[in-house]
Amino acid sequence: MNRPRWMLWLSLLAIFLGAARPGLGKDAVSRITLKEVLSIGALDDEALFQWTGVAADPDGFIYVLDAMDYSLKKFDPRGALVKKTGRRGQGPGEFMVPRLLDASSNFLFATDQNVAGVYVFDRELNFIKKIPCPALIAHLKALGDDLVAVASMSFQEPGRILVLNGEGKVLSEIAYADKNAGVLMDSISFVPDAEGMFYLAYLFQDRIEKWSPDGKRLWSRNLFGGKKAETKKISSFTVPGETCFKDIAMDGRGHVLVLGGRLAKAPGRTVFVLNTEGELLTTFTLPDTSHCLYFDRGRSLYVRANDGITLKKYRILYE
Amino acid sequence: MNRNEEAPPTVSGSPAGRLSRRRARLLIFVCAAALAVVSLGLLSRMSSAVPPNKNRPETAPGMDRCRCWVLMDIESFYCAPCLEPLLDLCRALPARVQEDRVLGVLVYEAAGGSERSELRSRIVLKKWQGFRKTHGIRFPAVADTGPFFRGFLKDGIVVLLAHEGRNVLLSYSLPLQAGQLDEIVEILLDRAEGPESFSRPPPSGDDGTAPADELE
Repeated sequence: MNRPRWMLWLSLLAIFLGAARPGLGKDAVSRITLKEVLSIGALDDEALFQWTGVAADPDGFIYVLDAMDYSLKKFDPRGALVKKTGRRGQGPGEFMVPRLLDASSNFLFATDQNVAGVYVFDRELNFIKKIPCPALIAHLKALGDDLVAVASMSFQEPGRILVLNGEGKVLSEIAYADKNAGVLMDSISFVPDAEGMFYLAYLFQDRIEKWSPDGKRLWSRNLFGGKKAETKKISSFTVPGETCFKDIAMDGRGHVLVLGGRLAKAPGRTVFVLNTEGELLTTFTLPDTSHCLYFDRGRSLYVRANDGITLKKYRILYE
Repeated sequence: MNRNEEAPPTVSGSPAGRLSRRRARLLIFVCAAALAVVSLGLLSRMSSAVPPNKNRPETAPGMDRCRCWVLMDIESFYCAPCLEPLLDLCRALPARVQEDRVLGVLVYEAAGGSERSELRSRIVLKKWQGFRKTHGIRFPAVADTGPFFRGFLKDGIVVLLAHEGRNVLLSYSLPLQAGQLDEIVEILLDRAEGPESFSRPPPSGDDGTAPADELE
């Protein structure tokens, strides 16, 4: 057989293997390393005391919710504090337990753990309004300037992702929970992709799932061999005892990143990297424990360090 | 009862917790001894950590006889209802009483060796700084991982009041029951020069917030 024909067969084989094996396809990634590009908050400054939520706007400004001083803070792209708002209370722009944060192009969306609603701020940290929600909010993602998706916490109707407009009207809904799963057992973190699909990480179950916008489960995977997380009995309720996963995010290259909880090899540090079909591509380990993963539009990763007094920003290097 | 009379030994703020006289004396002796040991350690750490303030005496009269420890788990700060009683207590105590007679003890779990524990201690104190500044709380705090205070801190926040002169060790769990807040305030104020001495405004230039590096 002459040389050009060999080359042709080899090329076809490579194409076939690349398509068939996730590790060699278009989303191929065998190793991920992190390069620190920014650190905000240290032991000897007053930048952050216990940050809970982070978001970034298209211009690179970074916004952080701080639970210890009940504030929303704005940092410039170099990490200098430029503005701060909020205090303890239940009035407009005040927090009791500030928790989740996300940003659209022009607005910030924040939640308070004990408030059924989403606070909207502009990029200058002016309080704009509160979007009412039928239940407390377990997770939040901004879908646009006038559109948010929330995972609701309701005993009556557990396990739902609601898409709300700026007035709080429910535009669509995904009912993902198993009936009788138990109190809080259906708690999730979720992330939408550009096509409107939702990826769910169950906090207290070994389950990662993909759902279509019209409420169909497309796939379900487990990453710990289906191992069951510990539960506790309190009165007649079964409640979670340990976390399987802590958060889920997308990196802008079509990878789904899942932060492992207590079941992971390094709790709060092990990150599983999946493709959009739920196949595990690789894992990497954060330098410090985090409770969340956040990607900005520039595809940088933000995580926690020093138990919440430091925010780290990393550039991800793919191999 | 006249406050100058010797009070019967008591080991709990609630009547249900009163023990027999002999057992109470024994328990008080053990607790007082343990408190003395811990106090020496804490006070030496305090005295070396808190910078001298030229506008007021280092130690108020009675400081060596009456002390209040506020035992806290930093995790309980995320529980909004748990915090209200602590803030009520702070609002009820004049600034100088807080500064001179109250010490916060941030009880935390140590893990991962001494280096890790030291880092954890600094992190806990940093969080306290943020919380303290936000609420204008005046009393300082130390981080502690020992078993003594942890033994008292079964849930949320606990206030310990010790007065060697009266052989009394009082323990209050927050939220306080009716009348307990007044009781704590009264005990702390009665041992000062007089209530008015603790009610005067802070010295000129003091903005009501503690220096951020006070515990460094």
